[in-house]
Amino acid sequence: MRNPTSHGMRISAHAASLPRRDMLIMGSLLALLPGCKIVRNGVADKTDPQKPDTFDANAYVDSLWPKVSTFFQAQAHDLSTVLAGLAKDADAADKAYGQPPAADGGAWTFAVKGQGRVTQSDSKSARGTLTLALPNVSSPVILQVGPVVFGSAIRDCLPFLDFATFVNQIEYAEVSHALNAKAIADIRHGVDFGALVGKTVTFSGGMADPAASGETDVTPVTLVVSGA
Amino acid sequence: MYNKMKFAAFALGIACVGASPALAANKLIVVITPSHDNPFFATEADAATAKAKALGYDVLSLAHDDDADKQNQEIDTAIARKAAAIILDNAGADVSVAAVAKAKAAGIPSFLIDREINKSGVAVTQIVSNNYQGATLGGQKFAEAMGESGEYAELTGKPSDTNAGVRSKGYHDVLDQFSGLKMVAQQSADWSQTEAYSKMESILQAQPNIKGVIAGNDTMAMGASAALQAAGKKSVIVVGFDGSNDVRDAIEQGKIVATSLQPAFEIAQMAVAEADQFLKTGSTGKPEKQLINCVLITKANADKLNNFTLSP
Repeated sequence: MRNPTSHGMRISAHAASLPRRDMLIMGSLLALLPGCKIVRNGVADKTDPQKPDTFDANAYVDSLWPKVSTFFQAQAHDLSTVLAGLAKDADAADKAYGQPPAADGGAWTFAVKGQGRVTQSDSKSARGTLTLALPNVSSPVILQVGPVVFGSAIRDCLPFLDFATFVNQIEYAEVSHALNAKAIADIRHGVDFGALVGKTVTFSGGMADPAASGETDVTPVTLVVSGA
Repeated sequence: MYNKMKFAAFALGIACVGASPALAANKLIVVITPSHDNPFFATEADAATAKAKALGYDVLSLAHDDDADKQNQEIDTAIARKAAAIILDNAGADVSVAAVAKAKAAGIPSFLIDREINKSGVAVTQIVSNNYQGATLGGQKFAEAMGESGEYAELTGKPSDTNAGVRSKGYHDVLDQFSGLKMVAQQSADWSQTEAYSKMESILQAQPNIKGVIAGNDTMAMGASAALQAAGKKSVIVVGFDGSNDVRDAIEQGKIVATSLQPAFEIAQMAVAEADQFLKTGSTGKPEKQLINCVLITKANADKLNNFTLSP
């Protein structure tokens, strides 16, 4: 949402493609504009034939991406701090560093960052991974580098994405899929992962509580090779 | 600002739904689900009925058989009987909106389970299995069991049921990322075991080399597995969805690789507890949409599964 008041008249054309919360805000902002008619029930509504399902998750994620990047730059916690906190007092660490699960039975997720040495690159599976050794972290850290990545840790650790503001679980899922695709495409761009073994990399990304899977598994949003 | 806006909208929503029920003296809860022929829905109905009775309600349990007209008549019955609340596993995300709205207009709050509807603010709560998450778990296990390559077939559910599409999408969001996996047949078997059996037979004639079958629910997985066993194709990988006792047994026998458990029992009882709270206090204290994650069932944990409940 960029400078909505100056683009007020264009908002309705895009309304159907936005999650409900953004439209709520837009609706509220529109209410401040004199002479604008507020359409009742101006939320995405698939039962209204005037508003077919036009949600474009990739476009939505593209528009959201600057906010995602800023969030990981400014808000990601040091992975070693999060892991040490979880080992000491999981409830306290969840609240200090994490986002609660969107669903009952889901894991807490964390925006994390760190720097470590690549000990292994596995590209036999389409689920390619880098294994890192980090100072002050006893377990190996797995970075999912794709091309296939599993899970929704990136979406889930973002405090500004809320399941309740999407029309249904499909849209919510599409956002996760698009976030993963965007992050992994950026990370894979021109990188030979096999050549990274032995090098030091700096990363940020989303991580589900390792207790859920038994692995410290990060879906990266940024990956930078030191000295490259 | 985001949060403030959201809070204001949320508070408004609560005020709207809170005003509707006249807190009927009638102690009837009407439970409406798809056909009890599928043990998943039978479990839902039984769990909701047991919980409601335990809380002192009378219960009328009905099945709409995924027929929107039948569902509509059953909502009319609930209205005519002046029910205190409706527990509903609905017959379609779009067609059910009007039926639930009609009950609301008559002062009867609805508590949805399992399937969501495409409109907020009509039902009091929608306690929804995270079908997409469950399907990605099943898809991931299927891809792994297939060794990330080979030909496979998909059996999809009843097209009118939102969850048929949600699960298929979840499967494909995982499987389509693997360039070595090739879907050579995709057919609807309408959630039915017998239909899955015959569809599987014809798929095998056209595609004798398939290495795996991924099914949108457990009854179809059972039908496909039986057809594969009958054809001597015992090494074909089968994955289902729901977590029924039948599939649990097939997993233990090595005939099916995995299924995603939807906690049907827990969801149905949660809905009744929230209905009771709402009728007594005018609020459930919970957001309208509540998502419940599925759990992957494999040989490793199948022995802990019984009646759609996984013991710790």
